[in-house]
Amino acid sequence: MRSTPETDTEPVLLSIRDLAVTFSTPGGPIRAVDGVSLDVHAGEVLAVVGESGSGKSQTALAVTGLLAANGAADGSIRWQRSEILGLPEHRLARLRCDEIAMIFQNPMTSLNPYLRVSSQMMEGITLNGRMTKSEARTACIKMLESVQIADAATRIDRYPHEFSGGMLQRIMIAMSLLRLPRLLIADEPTTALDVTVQMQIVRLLENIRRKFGTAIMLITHDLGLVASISDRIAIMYGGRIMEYGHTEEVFANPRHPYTRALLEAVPRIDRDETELRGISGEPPEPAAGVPGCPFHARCPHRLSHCADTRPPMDGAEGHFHACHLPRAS
Amino acid sequence: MNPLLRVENLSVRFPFRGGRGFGRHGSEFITAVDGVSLDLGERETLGVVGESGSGKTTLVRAVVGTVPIHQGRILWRGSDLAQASPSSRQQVRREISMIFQNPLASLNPSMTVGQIIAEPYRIHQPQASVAEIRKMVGEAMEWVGLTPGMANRYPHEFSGGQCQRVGIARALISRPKLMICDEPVASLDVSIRAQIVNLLRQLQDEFGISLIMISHDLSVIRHISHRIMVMYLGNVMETVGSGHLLARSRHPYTRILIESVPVPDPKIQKSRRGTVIQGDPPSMKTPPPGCRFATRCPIARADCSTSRPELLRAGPDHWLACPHAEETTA
Repeated sequence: MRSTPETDTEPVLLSIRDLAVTFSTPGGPIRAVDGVSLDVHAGEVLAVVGESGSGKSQTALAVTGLLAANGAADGSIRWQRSEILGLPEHRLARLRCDEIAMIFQNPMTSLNPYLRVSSQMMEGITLNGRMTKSEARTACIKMLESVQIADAATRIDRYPHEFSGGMLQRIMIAMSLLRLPRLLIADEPTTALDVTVQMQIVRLLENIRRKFGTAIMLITHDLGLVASISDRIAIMYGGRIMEYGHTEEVFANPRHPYTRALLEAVPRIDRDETELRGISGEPPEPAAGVPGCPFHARCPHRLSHCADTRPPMDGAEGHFHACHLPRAS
Repeated sequence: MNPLLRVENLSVRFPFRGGRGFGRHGSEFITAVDGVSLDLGERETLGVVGESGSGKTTLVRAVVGTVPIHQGRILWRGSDLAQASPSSRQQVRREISMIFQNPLASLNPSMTVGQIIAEPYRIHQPQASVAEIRKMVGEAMEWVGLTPGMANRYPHEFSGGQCQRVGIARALISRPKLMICDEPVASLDVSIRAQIVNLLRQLQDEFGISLIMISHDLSVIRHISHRIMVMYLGNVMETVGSGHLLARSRHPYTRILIESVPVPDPKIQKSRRGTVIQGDPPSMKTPPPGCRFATRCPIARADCSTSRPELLRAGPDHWLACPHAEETTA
């Protein structure tokens, strides 16, 4: 595919090309990600959107080198122009510690229930004598304050179960920001939280981007969240990118039948329509890889060759799509 | 005429261990549902919305009889369930069925889908023959869009959406009058959610059942409910006809819930700078004495933290528990 949309002037931080992630299972190989190419620019929010099994999370895990033991990544992942796919574990650990941070869906299971928040937060930044304990403690308290944990100096010594889900997610975000990473990968950061708390986290992520210039790769299934915060969007289905471009442009002129169907399937609080249009059929079964478009079986506009010919990425000016149909349809 | 279901001033409370030490049951209680009343008519859908700890799930558990009632009454077709004879209670159990959030977890993994769907029918029709049961299971599967040939498969062979269809078939086979759906689509993918919501609506028309839909997501529930009841920390904040939700709802909490649901349109969403409420819901162990929402309410006044506002009629099909909510401007 053509690389970056011309309109983006910020330098490219992360550049993924033809990424494939394959898991070997007793039932044969399963291809979770199949030829994904993406760029994340400095300071931007890129949303990677998809349903379960679309490969969005595995793409993120491949970037951070955290794939499960039976998974293998192929292709190219460049971080600030140098290849990081296949780096030895200690180099990847360094990268995760200093430059690419990651937060996950369920903050409750991301923290160790037996350790105080203070010792979990300080662990990373006191490694290798980078900071003394008292320096680290001060830095952690300051960061907790910047994610709006009230009374941070006392609360830092509490255990995870003493916090609510929203507070734990804020603590995870604070922890991930301690080394001032250039990229924060957030995998469904609001899914496990109540709606009013979701909004708090969205505002917090916006502030972080403004304050620290951190780029955010947001992995989500929630199109409302994407509309709230992202600059660009990549829509994935069955391990492939279906459509990719500036968020406002993609929402205003969705080209791929999957994108259009998805937008119609989401109920909207601001409109009084009564009929919800679902997408008939089921998502594709995990498989060794499909020759054609993964969406063809559910696509209302499919052509005869959609099942066996892979549509190329097509488009320009910051808006690309992978579909055999002519653009105007 | 009696409504199908009437809940009068219902309270449900759970004991919790007070103080430190093992096994010491204090005399302290968490009141999960606190003085809730509602009416549900035939073929009506009531949406119950609230965040974690709002008491929405405890409320319906009390209705199906899986948690004990502390105070209040539950009337089914006008008769008090607590006074009912065992045989009529068994009859009521047949008439009320339930669908759960996590479709895979709510199906027994070691039973075939056919056995799962048949189970309530076997219980309520113990004299039914094998052939009769098989026929009923096949029919129930067809109602929900599954092919009867799948009856010998196990739950893990089905996708999330299909498992939810199995759960619905199981709930339907005893031909209930009321189906209670606890977050029926929350764990499903977007493209499947709309399928299930539409299926529930179609089944309601076909079989004339009433629905109680529990959800934390206003945008989904509004599509299927006739009325919406908003709960917070065990109390009802507002009840409003869902067609009037946007225009007429006035409780500050309802408005915040509406504004918190992001609109999947960046042009609109980025200009919707609604109120973000700070903080988290207060602890259930020490609920605020007055209005439960007062500690986070943007328009709270002094009297809000001392006296509990009553749920009062605010218009046709509209009940409100806030004396300070302004006349709507929307």
